Amino acid sequence: MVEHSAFAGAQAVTATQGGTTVRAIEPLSVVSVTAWRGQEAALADAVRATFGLDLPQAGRWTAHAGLTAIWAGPGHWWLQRGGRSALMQELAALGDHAGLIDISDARAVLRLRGPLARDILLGLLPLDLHPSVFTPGQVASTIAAHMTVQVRQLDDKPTFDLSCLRSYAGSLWRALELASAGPPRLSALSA
Amino acid sequence: MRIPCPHCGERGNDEFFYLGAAGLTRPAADAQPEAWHDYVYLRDNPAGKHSELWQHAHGCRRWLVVTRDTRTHAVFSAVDATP
Repeated sequence: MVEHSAFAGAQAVTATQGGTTVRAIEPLSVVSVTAWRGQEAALADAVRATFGLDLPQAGRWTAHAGLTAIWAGPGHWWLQRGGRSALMQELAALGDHAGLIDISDARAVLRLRGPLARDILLGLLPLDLHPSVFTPGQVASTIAAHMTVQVRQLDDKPTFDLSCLRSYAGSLWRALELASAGPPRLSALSA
Repeated sequence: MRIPCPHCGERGNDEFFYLGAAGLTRPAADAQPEAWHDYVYLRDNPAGKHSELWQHAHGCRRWLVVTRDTRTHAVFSAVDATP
C-alpha cells in the first residue's frame, strides 16, 4: 500500500507567511487509551513503569523518549509517536487497564510555527490563546470552522499542533489559509 | 451562552450538544401509555432556573447537567451527569 498525504488536495504541504510556517505532520501513530472504570491509577502506574511517562492532568500533554501522551477527556488519553510504528503492539500490555483503539488513520495534524502562529489561530479558534493563559504543555479540544480540532502548544516560538479528523484535512488547511489572511492581530494590539 | 465545563473550563455553547431536561424519571416498563407519552413528549418550559443535559461534544465529550436561567443564560452550575 502507498501512503497518501491527508493534505494532498492542498496546493502545498507547507506554506510560509511572515516567517510563520504550516506543515503536515505525517505519518503519525496514534492510539486512543481509555481507562476502564476505576483503573485510572493502575493505568498511570503501568504507563510510568513501562514508558517512564507521567499521564498528563486535564488540559495538558507530556512526552518522554519520543512518546507523547495527550489528555483527551476524563480517564482518556491519546498516546502518539512520529512515523508509522507498531504502537498498538507496544502498548498492548496497557489493555489490562484500558481500552485501546488505533486511530492513526483517523487523524491529520498540521503544525503551525512562528511569530504569527498565535495571531492566525486567534481568527480560527474560540479559545483564549493569550500567552498568560495558554502555554506550552497545554492542550484543548475545541472547534475550528465547525470542525472538532485538538490544539496543542509545543513551545513559545510559538508552535501549535492542530489535529482534526483526516477527512477534514483539506477543510482545516483552507480554514487556516483564510485565518492567516485576515485580522485580528494580537501583536498589533499590544504594540 | 458560555458553559463552565468542569474538565475543560469555560467554553462557548457551540462546542456543546443539547439534549433537553435533566432528571426525567423513566416509567416502569409496564406503565400506562399516558405515563410513557408524558415521559417521551411532554416538557415543562420554565422561565427561570432549569437543569438540562449538555454534551461537550467538541471537547472532552462528557455529558453534563447544566443548571441555567432560561431568561438570562446565567449558568448556576455544570457538573458531570454520571460519576
